Amino acid sequence: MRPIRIALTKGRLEKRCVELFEAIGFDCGQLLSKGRRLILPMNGHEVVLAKAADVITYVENGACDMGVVGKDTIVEADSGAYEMLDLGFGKCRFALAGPKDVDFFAGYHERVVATKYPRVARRFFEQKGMDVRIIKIEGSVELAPLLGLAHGIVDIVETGATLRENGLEIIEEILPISARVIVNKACMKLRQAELEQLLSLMQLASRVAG
Amino acid sequence: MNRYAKITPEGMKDALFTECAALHEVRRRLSEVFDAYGYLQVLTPHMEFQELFLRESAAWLSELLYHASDSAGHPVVLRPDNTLPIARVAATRLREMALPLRLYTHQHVFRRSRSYSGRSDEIPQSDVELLGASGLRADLEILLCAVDALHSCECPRFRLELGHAGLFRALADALNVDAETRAALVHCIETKNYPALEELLSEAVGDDAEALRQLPRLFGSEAVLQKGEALLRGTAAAAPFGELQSLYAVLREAGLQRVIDIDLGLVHGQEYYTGFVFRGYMEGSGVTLLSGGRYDGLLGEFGRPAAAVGFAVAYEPLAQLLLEAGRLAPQPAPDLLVFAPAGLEALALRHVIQRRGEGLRCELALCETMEDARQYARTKGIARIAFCAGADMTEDIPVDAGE
Repeated sequence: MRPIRIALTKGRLEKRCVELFEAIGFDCGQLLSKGRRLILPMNGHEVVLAKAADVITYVENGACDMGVVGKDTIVEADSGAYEMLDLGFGKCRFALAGPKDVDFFAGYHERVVATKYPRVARRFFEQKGMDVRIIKIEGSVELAPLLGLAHGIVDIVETGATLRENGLEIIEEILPISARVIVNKACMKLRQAELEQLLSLMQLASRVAG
Repeated sequence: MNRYAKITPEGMKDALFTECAALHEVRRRLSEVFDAYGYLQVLTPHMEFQELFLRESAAWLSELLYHASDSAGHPVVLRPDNTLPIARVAATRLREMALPLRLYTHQHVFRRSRSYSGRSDEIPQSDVELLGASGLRADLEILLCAVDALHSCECPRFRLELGHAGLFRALADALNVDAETRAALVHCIETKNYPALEELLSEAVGDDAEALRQLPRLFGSEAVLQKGEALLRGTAAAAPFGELQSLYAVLREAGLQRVIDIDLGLVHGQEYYTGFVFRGYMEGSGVTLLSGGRYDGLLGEFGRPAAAVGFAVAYEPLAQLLLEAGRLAPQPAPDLLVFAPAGLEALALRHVIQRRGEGLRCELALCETMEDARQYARTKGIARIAFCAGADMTEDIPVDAGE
């Protein structure tokens, strides 16, 4: 049987994951000096580094058994994989933000919202029973209200510094976000013992760290 | 040229030669199993009125369906599922036929998936339904049929996992939560999202809430049933759990525990399931191969109240297995190419018919000269040519015989 394959989100979450695996006592030497390789061995497992949305794709299709990815990406992808652990790091939140001191909800004019996360925004306003126009922006979403393209934005907020510097403020928080462990449904059933062991090690290490 | 004229829509594809043969072979093997169990084959239309699928008891969201309209402009959809059409047939056109009815079908289902997710939107599916039968015997028959179906396709390592739709339903009813919370609970349990489940139930107290908290964690081998026993005794879910225990006990007696696991947190998206539910997975594939269960309320919705149980198997991965195992050799080249010069076409036709009658695979040469026929036979790998030179003057010669 092939080794358990774990997909990690490149970047910040990757660093925290390596710390987590080191805390468990795994040998992460290959992950720290990866060079150009894409599949890296770690304690008899295989680690794959990928962009957040791809982590979900690999896990959902069973190409990887398990993955670590932010809740933001899971919600936006509407993933059906098992979401089994909250690792407690990579914390931030989805929020609706807009120009300071402007009442976003006042009046009956059509509201335009810019976001990188159209599905999250759509669902948020659906729950409010509000009909808004959503514009997908790929880069710095904060720019859209400044340029007059949108009345507000739905985005990830960590400290709120970028918002403040651009004269924006949080109007309403939508959802707390942190790093999650997802597992492919079929793999969980077919390799239950191995995956549960790994999950409990990760949970333990994340609690100690947190 | 129109850019859409040369490609297929996303999620759709062609099946060629051995792929086609593999799908056919899987259907043949599955049919053999279903026939042996006494099931009768039916076909239902590709398109049906959307009301058949967009009903409270079925969780088909409109955006998951392929829509069209019938000749009168009424909205119709490409079937996303085979259970509902078969239930419709059993309750309406077959209402005079005595129950139980054993029906099966091999029909594609159509579901819109997220774009560029790599999934097929047209899914070859076999569906088996035992209609008008309640009780353990019917449950066993369906489970055994599912196991035999997978065995017939030489599926090497697979697991069926067993749950009960009544577990979640009873516990959620006992908690008396609103519809929105209930849907959130289903989602958390279905995705085994323990942290979110904890949060949703943070204020709920009592045995029922505790059972709901633990439900998704209880999956795996037989030991799960002992844990479930301790957890669910005295709760609202005690009765469905008892049913599941009895079913497992008999499966064990029948020697099937090797391939059967338990997942007490198995909640099917479909509301119409009332009793045990199950799913099948096979090694090396991250997808759900098989899914089914008991639905005792659905036929009543079509005016013929009766218990029913069944399953569907999305059999494309099984065809893939046969292909990978090299079970399907590519079709060999024809045995013989029959050529006749101009004026003797009728002779060639007679010869082809005669040789095909002898069991040879013969192709008629469509070219004008013997040299072209030879050239064609070489490209196609046909070893022999019959040259029709006149009545009773036809002879088979090897392609590469001297001219």
